[in-house]
Amino acid sequence: MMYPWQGQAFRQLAGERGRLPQALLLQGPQGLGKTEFARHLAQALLCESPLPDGSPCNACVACNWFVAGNHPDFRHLGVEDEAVDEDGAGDTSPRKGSPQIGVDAVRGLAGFTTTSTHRDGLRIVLVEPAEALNVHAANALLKTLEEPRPGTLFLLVSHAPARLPATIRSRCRAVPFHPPRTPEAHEWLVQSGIANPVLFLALAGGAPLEALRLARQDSGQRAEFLRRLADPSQSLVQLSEFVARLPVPEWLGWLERWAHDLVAQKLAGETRYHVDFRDLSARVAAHADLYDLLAWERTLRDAKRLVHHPLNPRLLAESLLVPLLAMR
Amino acid sequence: MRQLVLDITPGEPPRLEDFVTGRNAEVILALRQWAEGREGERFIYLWGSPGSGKTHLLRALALHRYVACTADTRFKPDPHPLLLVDDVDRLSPEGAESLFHRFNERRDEDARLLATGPCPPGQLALLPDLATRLGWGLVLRVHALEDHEKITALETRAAQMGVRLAPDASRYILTHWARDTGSLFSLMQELNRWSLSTHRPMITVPLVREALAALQPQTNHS
Amino acid sequence: MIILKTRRERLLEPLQAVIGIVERRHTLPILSNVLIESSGHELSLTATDLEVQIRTTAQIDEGAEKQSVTISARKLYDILRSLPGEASVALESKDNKLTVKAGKSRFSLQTLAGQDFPTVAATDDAGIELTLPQKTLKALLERVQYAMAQQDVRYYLNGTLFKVSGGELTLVATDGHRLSYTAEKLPQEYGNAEVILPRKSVSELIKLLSASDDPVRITLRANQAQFVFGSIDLLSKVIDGKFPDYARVIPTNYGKHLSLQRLDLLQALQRAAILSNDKIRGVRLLLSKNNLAVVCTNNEQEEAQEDLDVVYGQEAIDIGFNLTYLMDVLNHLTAETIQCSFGDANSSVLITVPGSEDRFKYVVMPMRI
Repeated sequence: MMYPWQGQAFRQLAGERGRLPQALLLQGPQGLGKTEFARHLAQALLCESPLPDGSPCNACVACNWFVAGNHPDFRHLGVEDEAVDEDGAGDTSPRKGSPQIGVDAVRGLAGFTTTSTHRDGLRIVLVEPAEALNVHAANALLKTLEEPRPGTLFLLVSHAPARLPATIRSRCRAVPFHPPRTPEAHEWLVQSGIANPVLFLALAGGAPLEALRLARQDSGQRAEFLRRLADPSQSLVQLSEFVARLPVPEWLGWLERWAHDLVAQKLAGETRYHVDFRDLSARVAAHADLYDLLAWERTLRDAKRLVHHPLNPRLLAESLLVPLLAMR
Repeated sequence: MRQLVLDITPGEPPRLEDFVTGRNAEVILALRQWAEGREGERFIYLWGSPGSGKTHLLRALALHRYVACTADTRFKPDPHPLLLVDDVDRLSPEGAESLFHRFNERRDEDARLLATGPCPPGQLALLPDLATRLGWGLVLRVHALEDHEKITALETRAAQMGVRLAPDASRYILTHWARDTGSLFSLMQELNRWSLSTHRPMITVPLVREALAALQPQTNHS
Repeated sequence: MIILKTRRERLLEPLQAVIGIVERRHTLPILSNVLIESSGHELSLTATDLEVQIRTTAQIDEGAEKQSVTISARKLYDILRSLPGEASVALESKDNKLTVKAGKSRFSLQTLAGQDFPTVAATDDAGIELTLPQKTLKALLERVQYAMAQQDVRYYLNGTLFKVSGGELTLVATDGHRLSYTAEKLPQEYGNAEVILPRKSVSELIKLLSASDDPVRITLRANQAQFVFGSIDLLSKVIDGKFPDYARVIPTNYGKHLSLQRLDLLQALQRAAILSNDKIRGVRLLLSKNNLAVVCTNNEQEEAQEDLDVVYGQEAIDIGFNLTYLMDVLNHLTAETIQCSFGDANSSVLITVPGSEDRFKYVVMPMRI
């Protein structure tokens, strides 16, 4: 499956069938559908009777296998990629769930890339997200990229290409992905059943899939959170208590966007993310100090690195909220 | 007891493409053009410190007309238009004279000669006439590699041998072994053998340490 | 709907032939399954690990027309084995489930659709086709397979070279420490072909080929090798890569030769091995006038020495080896007498069989003592 805004990128790459480089780095912000695009491209390249525009036919043996997850010339290295145990016992190693692609996964490709292909066509490896490769895995992959084998295509998907080793980036052709034009994204969100696409697309920074996720998960907590933030009667303890019940990445994301909105109001009188709270952000920004705001924004950015394992979410919340309360 | 290995790894001749350029872009360009007959000068003299890569460059150009000089080397008349003479400083006076004759005979024909030595032609302790002749054509200096270039070179060599070199291992090698590329490459060869004989797919710091420990007493022997 | 009905062993036997390549853990879940296809009295079972695919056919009592389904190979195998010998078995499929019925037992298993099973088809490339007696191919493979590498980074060593050149078939395997070579004259000229057969395919072939004169049809294609024999059709992928130039490591000019009774040496090694170092597994051969001493020592300074009477009058030799490398070749040969040819203590040793020097060569590198 591919999204409406990806047509041109697809036509361009599908048009290079047979002439593609050994590795493509599909890069851009999260929520644009890069992984779905990569899978679609892989299916198209493995398809044995592609349509005139290069799309997969969805009817040949290769397409059927691909859709069922059984195509032998396709491998997917992802963070949850575990070999399936017949008895369903699964992998019991303690590392399970850590968001990494380990060296064993990359080494496991050895047999795949060194024996002849199943259908006499390409062999394709999807690595997603590529920044999840740990140091050893990245080095092992680098060795493979350094000695390209004909007929092998690596599709690396990255939301943060800067976190990839330069040696890997330099061996891939970068394919940049940008948020689609707003009307196109709106239309798609409306078709997906989202009533208020403007707000969620803004919150998602223009990334349609992220907007869809936010819209589907929205339970009014964000609005409640922002209202409380601006309410002078809310104490730090009350706010932290409210926040501590929510997942850290969630409220930290809201807070970061809120900080961005305040800075943008201060500098340009604009609100980028929480567009439904435009008036509130203008009011708060009006009597906040720009340097304090910038410093707070930086603190939030630093805190984001802890987002997966804060020692104490409540303490984290308190420390991040203090500067804001001083401003209100 | 240590398992010896069969010599099945392909003994590929060095290639210009594999030369880590460093500050030698000009040299490589000149050699490429010379090899293709597009360089105006028919004679080239390369000089540089031992291990700077002169031999690699020469062997990459044409293996069959390559002469590595020793005290016993003598040059005989030869109709082939190409001659690659490595390490002219090792020639005995008789050898130098035979090269001088060969040189004169070449000058009148459409022949090309490439020679190497450790210093500019004027400083060679050789038959003065030969030294002068060597300075007639293009004289180029081959610069030894910087450390980070040596690391790249080691990694390239390892990749050719089909073995993986851990990143910290290449740094370790640079700080624990002779640093000229010749020694580094022959060490790489040894490490490759060592990793094969112990069936370890990757050259890591512990493996290097082990191999160096085993190599050093051996080098004392010989 | 009934897929098939037959006696237990008619299903068990073909399943046994394919079960060897079904691995427990897979990247693709469907590969734990066996593809069952029935067409009247004809049953075919297919399994693959993506490197090698084995398809086998059998006659059954009753089968549906053109039905295909896949179920867990291991579970079906265990079920069939646990049933009494003369049991009659029926396989019925309904709503993504397959029921195995036998007497008063019934087992209901998950299925995956037959068309989802990634079978390999023979490619269009005609390749080179030759036919040998099964026992000949089996013997050739057995003579070289132990020298293949295992999970070596030089992936082209993790298999056996199959080379047809004119009227000769050559098989070579090496792990970088030793190399085994065998050649067989073919009854006619076939042109040239060269493939590296993966380790797994080699061991499956050895397991499945019989020691009979029945034929095996071998087809070597650019990307695939196919072996058809009895009711089995084995399709193997090949290793993409260039096999090393083996000829340069087979010595041709050694001057020191020693003839030995194969079993005498093997038994001496087996006894001496008792006191060998478990980790290094080294053995020292001391060859002097008319005597060969086989010496093993271990970390506790214990020593075993076996003396063999031999006919030898050349320069004395003191050379070390990995015990396994010597025992491997001695175990896999059948000849009574073997010949060892030596260079110096740091050069390889060439082991041949007198009278068929051109048909078998084993080159093994020593250990530095």
